[in-house]
Amino acid sequence: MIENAHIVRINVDGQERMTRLKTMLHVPGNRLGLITSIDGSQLVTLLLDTNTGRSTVWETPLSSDVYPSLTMMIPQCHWFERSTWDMFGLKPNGHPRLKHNLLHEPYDASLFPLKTDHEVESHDTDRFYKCLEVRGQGVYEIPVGPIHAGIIEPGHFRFSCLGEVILNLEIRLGYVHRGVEKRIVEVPLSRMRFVAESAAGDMIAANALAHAVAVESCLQIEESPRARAFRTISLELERIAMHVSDLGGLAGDIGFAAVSTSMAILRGDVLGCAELLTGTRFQKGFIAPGGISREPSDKNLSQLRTNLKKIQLKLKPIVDFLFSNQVARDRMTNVGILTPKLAADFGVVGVAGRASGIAYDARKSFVHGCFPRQNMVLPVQQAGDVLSRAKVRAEELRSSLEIIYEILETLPGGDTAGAHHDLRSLNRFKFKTNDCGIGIVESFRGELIHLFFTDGDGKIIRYAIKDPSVNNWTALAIAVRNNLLSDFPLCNKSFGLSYSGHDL
Amino acid sequence: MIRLLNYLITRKIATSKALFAPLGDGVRGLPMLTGESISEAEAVELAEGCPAGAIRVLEKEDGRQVLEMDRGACTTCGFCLDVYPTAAIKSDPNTMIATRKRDQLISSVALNDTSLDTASGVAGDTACKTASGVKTDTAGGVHEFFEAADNLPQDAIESDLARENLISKIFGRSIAIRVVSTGCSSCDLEIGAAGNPIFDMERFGMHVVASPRFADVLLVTGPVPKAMHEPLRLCYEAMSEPRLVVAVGSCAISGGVLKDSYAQANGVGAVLPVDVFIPGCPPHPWSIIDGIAMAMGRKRQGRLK
Ligand code: SF4
Repeated sequence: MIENAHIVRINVDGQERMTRLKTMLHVPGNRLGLITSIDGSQLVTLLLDTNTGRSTVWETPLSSDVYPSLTMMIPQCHWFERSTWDMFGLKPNGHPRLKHNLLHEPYDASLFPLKTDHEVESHDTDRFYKCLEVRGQGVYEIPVGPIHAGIIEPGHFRFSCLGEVILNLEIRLGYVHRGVEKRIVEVPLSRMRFVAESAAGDMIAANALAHAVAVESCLQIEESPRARAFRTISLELERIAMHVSDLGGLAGDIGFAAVSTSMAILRGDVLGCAELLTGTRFQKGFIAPGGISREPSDKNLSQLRTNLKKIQLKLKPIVDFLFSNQVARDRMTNVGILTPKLAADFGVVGVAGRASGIAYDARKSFVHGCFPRQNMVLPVQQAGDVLSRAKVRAEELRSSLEIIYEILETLPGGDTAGAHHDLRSLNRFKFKTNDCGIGIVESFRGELIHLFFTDGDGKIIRYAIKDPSVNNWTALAIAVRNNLLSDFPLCNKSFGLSYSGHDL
Repeated sequence: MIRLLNYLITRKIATSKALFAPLGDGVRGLPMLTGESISEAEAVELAEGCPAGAIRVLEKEDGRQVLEMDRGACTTCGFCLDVYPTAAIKSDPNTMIATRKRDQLISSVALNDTSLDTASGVAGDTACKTASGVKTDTAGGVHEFFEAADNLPQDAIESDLARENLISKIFGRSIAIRVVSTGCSSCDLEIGAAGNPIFDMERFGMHVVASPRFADVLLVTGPVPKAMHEPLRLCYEAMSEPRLVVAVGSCAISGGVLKDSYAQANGVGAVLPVDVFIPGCPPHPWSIIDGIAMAMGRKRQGRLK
């Protein structure tokens, strides 16, 4: 058993894993973090305790490339098991709908990019993908994508419809799989943060922070209080920018141009704030292991304060217009419902989870930036429809602005450079052998996990990134069932998921 | 409703009057060589720290060592500007940074020598570029179209200026844009921002359309990983000629930090001919508008016409 401050790593054999996992997940506060492997000779199951902020890694040695699937017992395993098959060639036996998730036809059937321990014998000749077929009189299919009509990332949606009603939606992803998890272990530590940032372009601060926390947890170092404050502001600014953008997008899909353009302008102001703090609109390269990469000037900080006040003043009426407009409310109410039961079964996170009764926010549980804050009030809704998700976003905008004010008011002095700050010499750090590091961050989409393992030489051999979208894509497919086809864009926008973060 | 109208009427016009404003103080743009020399030790540190392989130390044919900077690969990570600042590299506040040729994004400076091989951002020394293995003849698809059009006088397609004249005749007033995203989405967000009321690219005749069938230009973001090779090619083939391709962002230009992996995410150039390159990670909305203006042939002698 290996233990550091945040994470425990234990061996659990296959039988025990099968029998215990379900009961463990029934304990209130426990969550399934992710399922993956290190090099293909074992399964890794990450359990999170949201009450204590501690995580447990179960390592289950495997004697063959086939193992019993848990999906029928624990539905949220289904996506993880598919990805683990693609990346490691480990086949979940008894998976009800085993399909490739990340690597499809263009790739060779014998390619398992993260499998390093031995060659896998591929049982298939190609990576053929077949969509679920819905049969019945009058049922027809609409294929959409991978290239979409708007300016969004690629993915394929297959709708099976009867009249105007969606009977089933199948989501096929993987088009933006770029090999992030492999590249990140190929580069030295000093460059890893940039690869982590490239995982999803709208979650740059969140990914950089999760990376930094993971590295720091393993090295058992801490950033200075001042750096911690700036990291938190950075994370919250990203949340504000994207919530504003998502609410504007929702208004746009309803056809409420006054609100959507006002939000677009406002988003520009928020990105301006991010620029004041970090030097770029998307906060690139700002958060780094050990601290931050540049200290914002006093002039910029006071400008930031003034600008945020202005944003707050502008935001309120626009949000009110959206929620007080009867037509807009009608379009969002009872559309795209995700029931609390299904949300819990599928481990849905973030805004979508909180809109469906799941009172979980990593900012209340896990160490990152100035979090956890145990006293945070979560804007939990029960209806699980588009309106609930919009409301949660609006509430979070308010609370994020408050968090930033509070931090700016009590900004710790001193240096942003802690004892470990010299970013030029990151590579001299030595990780412990056979250790692991974990960073759990509440990004604007929800729980983001970075988890890595070191080998017998203290080198990082496996770096897993679990984007919140991994949990939530299924939720979208569930929520649009029996809804009108024309409501799909609205439902989709209300979840606001990432393709690149999922595909990596 | 009245309150909403009142609100909208009392707002000031958000649309920016200053076109292509340079980046503000303290804002990090793409790095550029200042012309100052740099020691070998520093150059090696920079090359090792640059996550995108945009900074390299190369030996030229005559044996001199140079530091080469490829702005088309740079992910604006800030390492060479904030973490390891030197006199040789500074942040470029200019937002008009698109180029027609891939090699115009590459420049170099000799180590421990004050002579800058090229004015930064302008086509560099051939020996140096050959050494770096970057293809220099990336004539775009539109070029081929003009070559195929037999009613054109030969000299018309030979001089760059004449070619620009032709392009601007066809696309100069308005252009229909099809965006294909193959990456992390930050470039897509900035293209979206270029269409918002602040930058408002529609006022320059640039509008985004929902199908390649009626598009003039393909705006590609992201490194184009293997699963997108075929969809992207099909999308291009669905466009009628003449058609242009613009690579937006360093991933689309060079593959970025993820190039040369099993996913073969090596940029648009590996799949389609590219007409205009817009560097940045992501490029500023002004840079995107500038690049599209260049594709339209509206930009001559560096100014929007
Ligand atoms: S800013 Fe660009 S050139 Fe400089 S180190 Fe980063 S990626 Fe390389």
